[in-house]
Amino acid sequence: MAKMETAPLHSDPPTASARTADAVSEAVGWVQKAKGGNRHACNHLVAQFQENIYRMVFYRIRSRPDAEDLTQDIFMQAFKHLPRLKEDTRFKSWLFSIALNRVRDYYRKKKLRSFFMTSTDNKNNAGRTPEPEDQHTTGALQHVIRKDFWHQVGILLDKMPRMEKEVFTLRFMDQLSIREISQALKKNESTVKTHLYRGLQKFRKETSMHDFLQEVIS
Amino acid sequence: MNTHQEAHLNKDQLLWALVDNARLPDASQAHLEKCSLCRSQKQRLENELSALGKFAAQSIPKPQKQVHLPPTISPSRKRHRLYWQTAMGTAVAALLLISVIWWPGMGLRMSGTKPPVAAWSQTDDETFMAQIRTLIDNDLPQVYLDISEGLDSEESEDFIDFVVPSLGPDVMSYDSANRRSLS
Repeated sequence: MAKMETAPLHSDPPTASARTADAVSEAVGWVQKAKGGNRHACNHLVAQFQENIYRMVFYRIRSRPDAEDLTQDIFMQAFKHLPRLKEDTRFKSWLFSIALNRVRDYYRKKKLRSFFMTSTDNKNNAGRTPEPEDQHTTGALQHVIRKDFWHQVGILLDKMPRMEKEVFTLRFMDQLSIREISQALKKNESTVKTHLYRGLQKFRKETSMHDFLQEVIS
Repeated sequence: MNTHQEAHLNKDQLLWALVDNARLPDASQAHLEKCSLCRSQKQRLENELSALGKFAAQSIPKPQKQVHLPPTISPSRKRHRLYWQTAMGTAVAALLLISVIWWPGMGLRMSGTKPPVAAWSQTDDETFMAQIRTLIDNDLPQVYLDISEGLDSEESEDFIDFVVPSLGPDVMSYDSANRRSLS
């Protein structure tokens, strides 16, 4: 199994917070320029956040072409409404809130489409293993491991209510801070922490997930 | 030793230490700083969660399309679209309002049997007067009319005479009899 280096998840270690502050102040400069219609600034913001947004969307819809299209839509919508952003420091969480809404719209449309489709056409992507095309680029073993991983993630997330699932995913898979999550979801930090705590309680009970992750770490 | 073990963070406290250290009691916070066992348990959980995020990021296909920014959307076109959307919305709302107001009115007119006063014709007047005349001729309620229809004309006279005898000259009235007895 692929060995990984793991960084500790301290809530606010001094070096990490200093790095975050630098990144935020840098992003603020680009956001201000982008608001003024600077195309270079827009491209810079795309380059900085594209991967994060694509990943965030993919985790939720598990389809590469759809995730690519939605990522494009999210950035288009973001730049169209950028003048509405009051606090430039909140650009990342604001972008994530747009992404969350677009994912919700995607599922709403899909639900509507599936209503008119036959049951054989109606396939749910949730819990689906990412694209089979990956099998060619990576080994078969790696594919099996990934499949197992997404299966475990599916089991874990299925046990959580919607908001708990969203908070848990944003924190530990999208790597957002608690403050960014509270801004993206428009909930207070205390509520986010409570959801996170409950999500972690469920995570703790998933022994097979722990075994899997321990194997990944070792 | 025993007291030290009791002071260890329980599972829930360990989770709170991950989410928000400030929510732990002061004693637990102080214990966590000193106790290597509790810190290692917390670290183990942190490592697992970190591995979860990293493995997830590695386990997705790379995007084949990059985000492409087209020339900016002109505000005028946006405003134009907004204008049409508003106009269409207003039109639909107006149609709905008209249909809501119109249909109950139509329903009332269809179900109502009373014509307006202007449409009251002369024939209606005559019908109405005929009904009044019938009522004058037969002013008894229908129940009594049904009873009286069952009696033969000759029999009925005898029956009425029996019930209410006619007053002849030889029959003394109650009043005159009384007056005579008093005088």
